[in-house]
Amino acid sequence: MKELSKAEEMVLLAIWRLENEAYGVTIRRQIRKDTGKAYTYGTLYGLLRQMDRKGYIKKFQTEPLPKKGGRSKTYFKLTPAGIRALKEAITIHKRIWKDISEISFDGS
Amino acid sequence: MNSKRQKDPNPPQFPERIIGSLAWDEDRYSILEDLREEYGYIHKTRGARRADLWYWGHMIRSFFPLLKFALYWRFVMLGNYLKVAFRNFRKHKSYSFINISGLAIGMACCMLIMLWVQDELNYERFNEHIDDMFCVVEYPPENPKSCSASIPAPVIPHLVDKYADVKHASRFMASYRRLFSYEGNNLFEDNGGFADPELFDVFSFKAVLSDPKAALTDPNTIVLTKSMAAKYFGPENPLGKTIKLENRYVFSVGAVIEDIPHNSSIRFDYLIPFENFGRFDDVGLDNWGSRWGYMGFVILQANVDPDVFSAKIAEEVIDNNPGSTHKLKLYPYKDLRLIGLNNNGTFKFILIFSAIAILILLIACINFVNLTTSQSGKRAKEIGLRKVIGASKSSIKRQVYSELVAMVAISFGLAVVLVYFFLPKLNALSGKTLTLSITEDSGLLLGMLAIALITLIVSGAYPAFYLSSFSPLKIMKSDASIRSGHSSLRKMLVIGQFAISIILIVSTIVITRQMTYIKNKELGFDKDHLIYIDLLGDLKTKYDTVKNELLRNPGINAVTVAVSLPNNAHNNAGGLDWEGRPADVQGSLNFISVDKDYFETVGAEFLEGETFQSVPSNSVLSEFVINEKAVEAMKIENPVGKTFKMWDRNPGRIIGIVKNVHNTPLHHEIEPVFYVQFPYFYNYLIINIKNENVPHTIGFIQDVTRTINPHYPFEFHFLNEDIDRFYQTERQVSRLITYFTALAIFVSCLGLFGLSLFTAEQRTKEIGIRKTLGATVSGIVGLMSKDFLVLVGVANFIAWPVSYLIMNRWLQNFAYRVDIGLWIFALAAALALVIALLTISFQTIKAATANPVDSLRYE
Repeated sequence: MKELSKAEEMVLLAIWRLENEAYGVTIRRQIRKDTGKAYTYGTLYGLLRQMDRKGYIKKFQTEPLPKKGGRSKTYFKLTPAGIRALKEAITIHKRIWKDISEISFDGS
Repeated sequence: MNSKRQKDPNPPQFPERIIGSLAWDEDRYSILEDLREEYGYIHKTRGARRADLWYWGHMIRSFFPLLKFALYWRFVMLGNYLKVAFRNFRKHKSYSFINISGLAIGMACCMLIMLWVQDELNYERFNEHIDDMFCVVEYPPENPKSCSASIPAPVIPHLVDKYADVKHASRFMASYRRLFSYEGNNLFEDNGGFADPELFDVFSFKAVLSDPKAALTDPNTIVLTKSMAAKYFGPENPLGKTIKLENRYVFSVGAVIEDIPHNSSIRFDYLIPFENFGRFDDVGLDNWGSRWGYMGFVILQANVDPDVFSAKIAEEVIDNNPGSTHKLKLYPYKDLRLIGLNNNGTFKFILIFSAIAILILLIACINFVNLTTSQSGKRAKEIGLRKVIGASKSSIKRQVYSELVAMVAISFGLAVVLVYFFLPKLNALSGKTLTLSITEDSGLLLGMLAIALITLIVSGAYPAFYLSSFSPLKIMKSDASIRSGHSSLRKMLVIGQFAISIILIVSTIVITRQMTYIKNKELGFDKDHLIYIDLLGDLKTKYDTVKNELLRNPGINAVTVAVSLPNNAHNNAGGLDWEGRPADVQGSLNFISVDKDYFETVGAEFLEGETFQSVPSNSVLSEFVINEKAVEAMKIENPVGKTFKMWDRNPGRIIGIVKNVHNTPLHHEIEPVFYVQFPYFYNYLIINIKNENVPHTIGFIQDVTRTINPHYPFEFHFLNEDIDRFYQTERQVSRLITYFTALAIFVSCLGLFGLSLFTAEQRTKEIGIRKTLGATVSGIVGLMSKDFLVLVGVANFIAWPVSYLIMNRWLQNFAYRVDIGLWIFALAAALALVIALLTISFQTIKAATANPVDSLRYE
């Protein structure tokens, strides 16, 4: 399986953290909270769609909103493949950061 | 929370719309909703201004990511669409063939016409000052629309002297055929001119060697074009070389210019200083009363309003020539060819041909619309399935469009090939030298692509809308109403197509009839037996000898000399007077100077009186013959015997009246003319020959003229060929229209063929059942043809009045014309019906003769 990009990784992690509350606004907020990066919705949905096609995440719809002409809201959750990809990402992280602690960079 | 959402403030509309239009269908709603939520939050916590600002900022930052993704996904889908499109083309070969060939023909017509129009619009554009160039023209005050560019020669120098408003001005006079000699080579040159030096300030003709403007100031200098210089001097330097004209006048070459661009109306191979004109023909350089085809071109100073200047100079000719009534004005030079002095420009042809080309393309587009919507039943399932798994209306539209793009792209390629093959044919017909040089002319490529794009939009809009509006539920239930498509619209379009075709058929018949009429019209003179020779050199001085020699040959009926040919009466003489002239009648008529044998030679018949009896003389003009029109114009009774006075000569008498001959093109009424023996003006030797043994007779004429005129090459002309050439434009137009009509009908028939194919398929079962119940083949053919024939019939009723109006207007261009008989409409209707019937008969007969066992098993 192809490695996740940093951006994909962030989005997947955000969805994972949000559990059942992951939709556009919350995902964007979560990423900002975690990394300080403020994605535009254009970029965010681009990433979401890409990962939807790859099968890492799945869309699901809520009950339609009770207002006039209300449509359902699209939520996202991880698929097993998505979780697997995240796990793999963590493994790779651990492997490449092995034996390196924050202190190692001090003074350089 | 939900109740609060209701009160959420609305984000600014413009950025919301931008984002909405960029986002892909699938996530558009989610993105907009998320943005709205975020906006509401900021609005609540930090105020409306900050929220608006944030939204705008977000739009700008989202623009490229959204665009990138949108394009990316559309591109991915396009691959799928194209795959399906090509499968469809292959599956429905006949429909694809009809669509592609129709569109290709339509586009090819448009491209060809575009090339032609572009060439016409480029006329004169090589002149840098084109927008400031004016032609000085004359017009009779009672009819300001009837202008003439031929003005008295002194006008231009007079305007230059009198008005500081004139920046540059030049006269130009096209020269007729002249004899050129250089080192023993004698050649006739047809295209030359006399001009003032400032011609080169007005027009942007490019110099090659030396300064042509300076050269023209020396009266003994001639300016040649590059190819003319090459013709006489080859690779040698032509400057300073001397060339002899008419065996008498010696000119030295003062400058060489580039050949006149093909898109110039003013054309010449050589230029002689205008002041030298008097040496060749001593006719009225200072005379305010004569017009010999001198044209005047001016450029005004920058701050001068042309209309104001026109008003200033209006009376100049009247002031300087008390007998005259003609006024002067400026006419924009750029309109001279396109609009024309008397609305006889090429602009109307541009309109006609553009309209026809667009109509043909429209017919092809209609075919596409008809066939696509009629085929929609077959496509419905595919589209329904796409919709069920989430395709939106707009993505179905995109699919239909991408299929159409593929089809138009194939047709476009085919159209370019067609243009490539038919361009030489168009050139031969129109006498142009159009080329398909896409690499050199990027505007051309853009134009061609624009044609393809317009085709795409026109033919794709309705099918895309129609197919995308299918409800998947209905499709899956296989609702019958969808299978048949929108048949009322289809009927209307077929009616439209055939109406266009019938209009073109009627036009073709009327135009062809008018052209035949022109060709065969009795002009009142013996045009088929006349040949003429320019009266040059000693032919004029030794005319009596020439005549006697020629008449010895039994192949020659008669010989005469005249100022102009019988089909042409353009020499106007003012300052006339006659006995009993009413005060309100101008003393001005066209005159033709001839000798006594003229009437017999050209075959003009006398109504009263007979030909000249006296000896011709330049000083005493004692006998005049007038034509019937002149009798009307002069407003006198019993003219024969009355006195008639030309200019300040002694008065003479009217001795006869001849029947009218067509002395102008058939566009115009016959001109009133008077004939007089005025040897000074003789220009042509006109010979009436017998039809037998023509080459021998011409050989004889050549021998005679060679003996008299050894230095001149022998050239002769048949008068009927000249007359034919005059109607060349009309003939070209009529031929082009005929071709286009054939194409329009062909494309219409393609469409009809496709529709009949569709109907036959659709009704296979019905026909099978009818046959098992005992229907005959002819009965079934009739049944199936009826619907189509009704449409063609209705089309006739629309086309008749329209075509009548159009053709009636066209015929108004001719003073002598055919009438539009009812039979023409009947013929057009019959033709259309027969063609339609034949087209659909392929399918109807096939369907009707099919074995009912097979048709019932169909599907």
